[in-house]
Amino acid sequence: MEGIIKGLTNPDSIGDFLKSLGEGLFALSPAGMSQMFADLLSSGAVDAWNAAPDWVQGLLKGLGVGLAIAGAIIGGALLLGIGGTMLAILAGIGALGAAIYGAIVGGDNFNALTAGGIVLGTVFIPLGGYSAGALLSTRAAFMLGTRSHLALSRFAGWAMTKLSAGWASLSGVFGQMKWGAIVGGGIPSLQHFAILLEDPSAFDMKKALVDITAGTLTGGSLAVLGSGFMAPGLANKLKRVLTASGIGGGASTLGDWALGDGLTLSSFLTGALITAIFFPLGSYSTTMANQTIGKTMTSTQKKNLNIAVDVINGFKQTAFTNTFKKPIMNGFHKLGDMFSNGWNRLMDGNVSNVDHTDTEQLQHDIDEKTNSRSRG
Amino acid sequence: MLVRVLNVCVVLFICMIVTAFSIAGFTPEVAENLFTISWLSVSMRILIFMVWTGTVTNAVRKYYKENQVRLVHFRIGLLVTIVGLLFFEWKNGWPIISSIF
Repeated sequence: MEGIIKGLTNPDSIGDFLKSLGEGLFALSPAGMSQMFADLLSSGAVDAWNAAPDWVQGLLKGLGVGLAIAGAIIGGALLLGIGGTMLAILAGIGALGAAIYGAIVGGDNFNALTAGGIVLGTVFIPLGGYSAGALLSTRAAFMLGTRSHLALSRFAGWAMTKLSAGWASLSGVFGQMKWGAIVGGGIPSLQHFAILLEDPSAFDMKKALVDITAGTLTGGSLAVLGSGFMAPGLANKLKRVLTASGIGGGASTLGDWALGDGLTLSSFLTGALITAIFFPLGSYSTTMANQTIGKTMTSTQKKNLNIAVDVINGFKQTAFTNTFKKPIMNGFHKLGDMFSNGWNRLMDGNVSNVDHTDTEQLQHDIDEKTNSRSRG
Repeated sequence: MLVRVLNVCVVLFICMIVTAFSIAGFTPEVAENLFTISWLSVSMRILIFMVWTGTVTNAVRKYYKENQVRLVHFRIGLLVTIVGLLFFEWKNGWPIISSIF
């Protein structure tokens, strides 16, 4: 265009002017006009394409590839005479999927194979399912299927009978205990699960296993006793208290031992003592509550009352343990030392277990006194 | 119907605990990557609490040797859970409660 204008207004030579004139006349003719228009349009389209954002390029590419493949599928199906509305809808969905894929990945990362795969998959996976269904409903496939189903159910039946027999025998042995065990083990599991999800590095497998085992043992053992808080006679009451204190002491000892604090008698005695104090106290307060304010209550109200009393007892025991576990354990340590020292002195006159700080302190005191005396 | 759901809860609870603890026990680095995804961690915690509620309700129901689940089973289960969790919280130095604040 610029060449023509330059040739007409400021020609290099007469020949150049004539050539420009001819070109200008051609440009004004219908053929020339349409060529020029197409030229402008195409350069504009290229500019628009380059100016479009990445996702629009991807979308257009996806739509183009999708529509081309969908058209090819529909056209091929029509030619073969197997076309249908379903196929057209599937192909349309596939094209739409390809366009969405293009918009997501953008024009730069666009992969025509993936876009084509989306269309083909959308069309042929449902069709493949349809063909597989047709294949499977043949007589041979039915027979095969029935045989495998029979074999599977035979195996499942065998496994289930074994499993249920095992569970039944466990139930017979453990009775009510197993539900207490599940609850008792579940609570620490829940806690350690929460710790794990809160901060995975804080999770300690050993501690979790110890807690779950101790909880399972305690829950399972206390479940048996739980139903009989109000024992009929003093002997039974005593037996229950002793059993409960043994369980409490055992759980406390096992926990301390497994966490590396050593297997100590004082740990057992502390747990046993605390349980022995609080188990009868709890039982007593339950009886008291039931025989006083519980007398006028309905059975539901009574049940709630008992739960409330149990909770209060639990808090009392926890608070007591929290405050007094260390002092009581130290006391038992002292007692144990005294016993063993006394025993050693009695049996073989060995005083090696006597606390040496005492004698050192004594020596120190003596030195100090002699010094001050000599000084004074 | 409800009892069936509760039975499924027991199985789900045990499976979730065993799976999560196995991952954390055998491959700590995987657990570090997996359980720090916040949406997964939060939704798993909500799920485990729901599944545990079902489990403990079911256990209390079986403890009383009843065939139908009643509201009182749920209430006793919740109380046992609260008291038990407080006990284990106290024992392990309040890990969950201190994480809330």
